[in-house]
Amino acid sequence: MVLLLTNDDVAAAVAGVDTLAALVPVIEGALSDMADDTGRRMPVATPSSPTDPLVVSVMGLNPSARTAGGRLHLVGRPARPGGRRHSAYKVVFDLDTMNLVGMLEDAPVHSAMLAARVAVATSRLARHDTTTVAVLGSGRMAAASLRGVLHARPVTKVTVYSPDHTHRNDFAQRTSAELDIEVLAVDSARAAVEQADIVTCATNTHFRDRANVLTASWLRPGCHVNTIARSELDAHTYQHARVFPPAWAELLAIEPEWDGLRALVDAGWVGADGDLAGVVRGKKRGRSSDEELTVYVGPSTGPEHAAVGRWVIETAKSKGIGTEWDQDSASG
Amino acid sequence: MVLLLDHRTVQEIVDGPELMNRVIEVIENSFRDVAAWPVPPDPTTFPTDLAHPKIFAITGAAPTLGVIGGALHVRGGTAGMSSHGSYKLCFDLTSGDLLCLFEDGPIHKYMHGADIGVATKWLARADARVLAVVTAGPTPPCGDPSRDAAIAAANARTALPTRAAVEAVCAVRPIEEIRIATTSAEHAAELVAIVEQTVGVPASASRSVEEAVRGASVVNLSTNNMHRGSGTSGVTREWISQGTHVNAIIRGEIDANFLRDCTVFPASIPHLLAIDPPWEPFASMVKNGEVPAPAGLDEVVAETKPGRRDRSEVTVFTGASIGAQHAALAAWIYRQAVERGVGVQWRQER
Repeated sequence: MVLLLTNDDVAAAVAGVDTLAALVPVIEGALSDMADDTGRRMPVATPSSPTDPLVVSVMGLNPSARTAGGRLHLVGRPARPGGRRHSAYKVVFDLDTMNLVGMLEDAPVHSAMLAARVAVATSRLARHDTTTVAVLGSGRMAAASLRGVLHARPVTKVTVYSPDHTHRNDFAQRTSAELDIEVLAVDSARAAVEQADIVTCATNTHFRDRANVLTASWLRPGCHVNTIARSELDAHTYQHARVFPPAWAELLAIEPEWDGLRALVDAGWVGADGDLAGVVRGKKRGRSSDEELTVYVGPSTGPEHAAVGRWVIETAKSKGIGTEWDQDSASG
Repeated sequence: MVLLLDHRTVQEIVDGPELMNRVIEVIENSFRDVAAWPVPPDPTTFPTDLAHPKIFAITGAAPTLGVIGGALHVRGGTAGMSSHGSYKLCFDLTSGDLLCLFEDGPIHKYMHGADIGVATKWLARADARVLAVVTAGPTPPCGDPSRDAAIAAANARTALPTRAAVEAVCAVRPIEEIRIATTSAEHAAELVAIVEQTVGVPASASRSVEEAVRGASVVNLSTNNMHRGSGTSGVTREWISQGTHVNAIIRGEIDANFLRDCTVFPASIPHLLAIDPPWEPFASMVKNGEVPAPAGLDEVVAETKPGRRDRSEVTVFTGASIGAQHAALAAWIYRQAVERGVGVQWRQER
């Protein structure tokens, strides 16, 4: 029996649930599996152009939850206005039987999943005495990223920069009200980040002009940076930081190459000795000093999608939500 | 609205008349789509380590059918084989909405057969009359009960792709004789019976691989030696007659010396170069310039590159599972299901 969940079903399933808090241990479980190399994942192709239609598949195993699965997402500019209403799904298989147990549209939990991933990274890598955060980007994912940081650290001040002044002012107004914290829109990325203990980036620069949004010389010693999209950081920043992807093997297998990191690692300019999965599992060292610049490079991974998909399926089941598809019935 | 089709429903669609010819037509058009589609293929990773459960997707576009989609494959659960197997799905290329999801077991074998049918149609000599089939026998048990259950299930299906490939070749060429070489006499006898019943052409079990392929005009190799780690199919270039066409859809079946002395047609050059692990040794030979830049079968079918140049040329098709073909077949099954009014509708808007 396969449980099918629409966006409405998923929204109903997670209504009243602190999704971010619930997903943090789910993400940590997936990362632990990756550290043990049991969260085997398949390399991922991502679009190199915003207009190219491409089904991006991010698949992996989450053995601790007896799950295999991932995300299938049709990307690319819609051919007509209003397109892409139902184009992102998580699929969940039982690891023991490899039978499909659930399929869900994931829009209602997508930003919460990002927030949880940023929360895990920030809690494991940022200094404990951080109070100021800079947000680069002003969209839904930037807000989610900020939520993740606030979940991990007792922040008292937030600055935001986005090239469009209306967008950044709206973001500041909206998130101040929603998160009950001072959010100040500023006129440049440098002004936003140079006093920040944590910088969290969620921009569309890769699909706009691929201009890097910050450089290492702007950052305070001991800063922690979260980057979840390509082209946000320059090579200089990577070279001056300890870089923590979920897992290096995963990051280096992504096509097209993520920010030239293969070449930087091959040349020895970026060390591939740290990864968030290993830190979460206690196998690897995280931040080594209060002065160290740490960077979380966070493309989502198959094990994380599988784990979140399983959590949503179980949550919906417990509430009797969703449509059941009986694959063994004669009705077809 | 997503149309959901279970195994039985897909099987009923597949059981229709002239299936192989229709699937060959779908796959042939898909090759034209591949040649014309401007988006680079996604790098497709095929699992070679079958000792662990795997899940992976192979995706692509079929613009002439208005879809983008692919296949979602699972391999081996920790407690044995999946009872439902893999799935195909497709999205509407215009709206972006998911159109259908179905278990692809009944159609999957025909897809690979159709690949071979298209390759043979475009590359083999028109008067090809003798088909040699070199195929693996059953995989022996490994002693691990959980794995042996999966091996037994896989062995039960061994004949299916062989049958589909033979059916495809016979659909496009006037085959009058079929020779079968495999690892056990029992399996060979079983295949001979299945093949004769399927295509109505006299078939016989050969005493050796060499006996099967010498003088054959089309050779189908499907020896899964990559998974067994036992090297190539054992077929050498010297056994192959001038003018023969060889379908070698599994990497590693023929060696570099063989490949240098024939004209190789991958399914598509960009896909050949995007596959991981690489389709060796040919991918390295292309990258290193050891062989002239090959044409893809997609380009041959689209008639932008030539196929066979003369009657004596030995041609080799090195097939690979392409996402566009999965998407095209998904669209075809979807249309068949809509026409018949079968399947379960999953309403996403209420």
